[in-house]
Amino acid sequence: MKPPPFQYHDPKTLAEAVGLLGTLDNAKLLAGGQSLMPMLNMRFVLPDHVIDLNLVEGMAGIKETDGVLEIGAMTRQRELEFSDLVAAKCPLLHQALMHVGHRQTRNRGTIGGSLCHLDPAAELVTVCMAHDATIAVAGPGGTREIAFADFPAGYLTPAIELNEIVTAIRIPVWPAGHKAAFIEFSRRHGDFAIVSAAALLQIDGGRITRASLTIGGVAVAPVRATEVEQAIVGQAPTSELFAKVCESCRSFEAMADIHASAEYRQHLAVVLARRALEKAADLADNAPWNRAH
Amino acid sequence: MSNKIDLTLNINGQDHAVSVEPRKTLVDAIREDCALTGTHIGCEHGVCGACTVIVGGEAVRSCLMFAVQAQGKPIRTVEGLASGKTLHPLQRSFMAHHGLQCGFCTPGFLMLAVNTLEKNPAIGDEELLDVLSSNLCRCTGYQNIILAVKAAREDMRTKEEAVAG
Amino acid sequence: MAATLNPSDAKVGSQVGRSVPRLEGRDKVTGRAEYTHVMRLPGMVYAKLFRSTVAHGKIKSIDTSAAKKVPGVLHVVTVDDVMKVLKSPYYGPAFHDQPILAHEKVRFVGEPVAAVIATDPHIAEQAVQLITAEYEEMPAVFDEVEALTSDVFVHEQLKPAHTFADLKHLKDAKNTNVALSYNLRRGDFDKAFAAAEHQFEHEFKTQKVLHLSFEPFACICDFKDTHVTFYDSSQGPSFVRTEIARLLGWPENKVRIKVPYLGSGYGSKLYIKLEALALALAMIARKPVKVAHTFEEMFYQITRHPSTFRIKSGVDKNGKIVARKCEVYWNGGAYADIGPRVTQKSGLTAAGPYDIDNVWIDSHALYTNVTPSGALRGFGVPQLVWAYEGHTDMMARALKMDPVEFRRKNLAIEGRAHATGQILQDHPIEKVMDKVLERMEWSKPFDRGGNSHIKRGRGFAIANKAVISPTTSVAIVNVSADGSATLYCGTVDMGQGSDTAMAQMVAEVLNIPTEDVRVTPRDTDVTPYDMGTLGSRSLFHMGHAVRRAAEDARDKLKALAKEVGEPEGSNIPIAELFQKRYGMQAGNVIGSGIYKPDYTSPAPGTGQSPNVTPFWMLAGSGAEVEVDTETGHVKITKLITVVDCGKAINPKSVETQISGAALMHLGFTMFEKMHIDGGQVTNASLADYKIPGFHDLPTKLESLYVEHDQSNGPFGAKGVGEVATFCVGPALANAIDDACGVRIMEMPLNAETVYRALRAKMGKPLEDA
Repeated sequence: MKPPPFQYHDPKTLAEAVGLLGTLDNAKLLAGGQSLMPMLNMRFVLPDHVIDLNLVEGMAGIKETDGVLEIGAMTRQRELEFSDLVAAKCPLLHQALMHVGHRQTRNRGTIGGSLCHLDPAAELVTVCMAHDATIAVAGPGGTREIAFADFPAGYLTPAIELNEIVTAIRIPVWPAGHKAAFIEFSRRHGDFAIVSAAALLQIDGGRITRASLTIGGVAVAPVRATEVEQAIVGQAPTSELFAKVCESCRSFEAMADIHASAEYRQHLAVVLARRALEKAADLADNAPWNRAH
Repeated sequence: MSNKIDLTLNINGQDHAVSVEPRKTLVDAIREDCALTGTHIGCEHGVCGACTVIVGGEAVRSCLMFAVQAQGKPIRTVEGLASGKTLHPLQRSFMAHHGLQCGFCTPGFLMLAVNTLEKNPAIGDEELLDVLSSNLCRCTGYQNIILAVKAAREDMRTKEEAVAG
Repeated sequence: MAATLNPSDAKVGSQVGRSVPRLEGRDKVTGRAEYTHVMRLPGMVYAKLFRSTVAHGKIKSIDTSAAKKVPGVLHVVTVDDVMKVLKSPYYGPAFHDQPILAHEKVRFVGEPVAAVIATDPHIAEQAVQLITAEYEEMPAVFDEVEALTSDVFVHEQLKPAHTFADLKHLKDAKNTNVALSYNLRRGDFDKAFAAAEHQFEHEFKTQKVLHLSFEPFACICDFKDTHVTFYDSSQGPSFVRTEIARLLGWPENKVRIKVPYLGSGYGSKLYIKLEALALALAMIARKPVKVAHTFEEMFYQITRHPSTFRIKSGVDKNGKIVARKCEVYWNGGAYADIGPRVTQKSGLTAAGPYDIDNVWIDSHALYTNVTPSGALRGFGVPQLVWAYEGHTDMMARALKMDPVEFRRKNLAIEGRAHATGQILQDHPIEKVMDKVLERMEWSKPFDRGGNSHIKRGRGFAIANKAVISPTTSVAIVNVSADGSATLYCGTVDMGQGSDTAMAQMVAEVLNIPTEDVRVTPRDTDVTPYDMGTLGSRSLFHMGHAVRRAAEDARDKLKALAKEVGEPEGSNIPIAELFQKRYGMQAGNVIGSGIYKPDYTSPAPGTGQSPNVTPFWMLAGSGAEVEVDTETGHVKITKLITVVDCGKAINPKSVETQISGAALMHLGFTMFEKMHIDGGQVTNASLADYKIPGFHDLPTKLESLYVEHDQSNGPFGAKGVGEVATFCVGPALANAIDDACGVRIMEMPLNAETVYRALRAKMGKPLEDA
């Protein structure tokens, strides 16, 4: 199991990286390598050039400006996991990170790499969808921003041009005191999720004033359960309400593969949607497979 | 089309000048070009963890890195654990508690555990299990690996306290 | 401590029964242990394989021209090239049916069709991608039951090896996929079944799973015109030597197989795997050639047999099983490997550890167009237990009998006859079952949980297995002139701890510390014959040979003492003894031992024999589970496995063998599965084929043994490599049934399967949702 031959480039600046990407044919960007390297080793990907982003200055870091968490694309998942800022401002991301592979893979894996690989079951993709994040990209023509809802173009395919590089992820944070729950159904902890659910709730005076519910792993990209979101805003959070409205998740278009059939994924979407909302609203924590023991 | 690149890999404190194709993974370079075969190659796609080494202070899968990317960063492998004839507490513990059978996954587990315990000698049981869970073993049923790492944790902690005191 | 001839006191202490840390442990924790996968020889070149993409077809053409042009490629080899150096390119332990590279036809997706030899494995892999082949596709057969009556034949004619007398009648048989049918008849099944008060019939299935040793298959062949040397990741170097000698038409003494430590095997590295190919390639390259698999390639080498088991039982009004019929179909894949032996040797225990007067067993080995199947930690028995212990619980449930009492009523206890007619000895099955029940606290009230959607349940299972027989082991103990002892034995230590256990036996006899015994690496030029490290036979068979060799050495030392005039009972240091005899530190004392148990061939057609096996392996498992009825997720809160080990030579090694086997089988039961679509394996990687990790450990995993002295065993011991795998599957299925009332009869018991069963039981199948 050996990667194909390629030329290696290690630019030190973003401009240099963009320049290389714009001029080289059949080039692949290498971030943390936790998704691309297996594909290279198995010869699923056969690039002529590999552009390593690990030495590019200024592509990593976490900061908050005006209610937006800005994360450099090359920020390691481990940095995010141990970031107090992330834990305080974006508890959903913090919770989701615990499910991203293992700590050893988080040592290398980057947020930008995970988003660009765009696995349908990837936790960080689901979080970005839940938070209405925007993706900043740089290309020969300058920079632009993409709303995350428009980012997935298809299975494993982000909506960026071949000559563009994702530079940062901007996550609008929710007000202090908001509730977040990220749960997933995987064969075991550390495996890719079969189905995941991310819930964000703002509850004021016993009523839900704002809601976001996202289901990952069912379709080629995470889906916002807008019907559920609309139905619960203005209501008091109860298990009965959640059970009733989450039934609508059964109609999501679903994939089938060796890990689960489409109808089972649809069923899990219903169960996980309800359980994520229940967990976020502190009603119940019914995700036994989320804990080691 | 892929020319070789000259680089220096610093492994266990020793510099190795090697000339490798950029496509060569770190694990292949460590084994083939630096002749340190204690690091094993397992699945070669980042699942089993048999090739775990410590690069720049972090445990990583060396099949998911190219050798060129490790330039300038200290690398630690299983060969660097013992000092002379004196084994590292984890090595002693894996032996004493039967934390290995065929031994193929052992170097990877040792490097993962060393990295984990050095960073946090007081790591709790649940977190320890979660960190160790990145690596796989097909033989032992894991129980003795857990036993061995926990025993080494006590051993290393006692030592640290002795030094501190 | 200097070894002495006749220590008057027990200074050394008993070596048997000590949890000696494994002798090679230091090499393994320092990264210095030798594995074939790690080895390189000067001038060595590398081979990679081009594999078939069709399940069954005639090869029309193979285009190797582009591959040949890649710089660094030395040869691109097809079977035509092989046949220039080896006239007949077919090999195998039971049938000579497997070609070194596909010959005229391909019979499974992944079958090696061509090989590239290059100076570097990267180059070889790159060149392999440039090879193309055209096939005339033929209809294929994948299912074992279908294969019995299909008009698609995997082989044009059968080619039994001469090794097994009972396969002779199959020579040149045509128009069949049956490689062997084994039959056992005891009493009159039809009559007893018809007359029985209750009649039960069930069909159980198991899926295709594989060993996934962490050191993939690897073999280096260094061929010279006068002799050939292999460095081989093999569990059976003696067999490899015999088969390579046959292929070459050479005497065995020109073939040398060296086996370093194995990164495990579990039955995958038995008999002959990459060796014939490595031989042919080395003869062509005239350089040492290494063939080493990737993880992905292991999916195309050998797997466990999928099986279909139709089981029928008649039970009388008192709950006594009076008749049992077992029809077992083994999916052997495209080449027989050791499948016919699995079919026969496990077939004879298909009726379980029960006392049944009327038994009918038919066990069929079938060829199909998938990766070959062979031995995997249990030689077929786990597949059988999956069926008969599920069946047992289902009957108890239907009869409204307690599953413990139902089993107790039917257990085959010592002194009773097994279905083969052999009177059971050293068969304390009730002791094993009692220990499981005790650890499960079976007699106490069971908490079924208060949560509405989490249902708790528990179950258990018991089983036995007959060790494969008759087989032979030979050992040598060499005492050097300084008094140190070296053991030469062909048992391959692939992680089970055999080197340490064998050394403990030598140490026990010679009364020296185990750590002072050196076990030589396996090398057929040096280590004598052994049938193979398989089927839990080594500790018993090789253990006897080792014990005898050590006793022989001890007796010879005593004779030497007498010769040099030492008084009776002298405690002279051994080194001085040699000094006295040879005038300096010189000479050796060589003890040898050979062991082959008594055996009576089963009668053809009925399988009856008074002595079909020298010992029985006994196991029991108990499981507690929590089923999330909204998702089908099963959490295993307790898994207890108990085996009878005779005597634990090394208690910690025994426990680790049990915990490892139990967790491995938990994987086979709950989630492991090779997905095959039109003959194509669709999850041939560790990323998609899941094996157990830390988080799959049950909340409580207990690995226990009872010690019932094996009266004919060395130091009362017997093997425990496989036994803990037997009962895990049915114990879990029985627990799930107990928890939520669904019975799953085909592995694996993954969440979707359990959930679908729950929905079906509610009359609302998931597919109708």
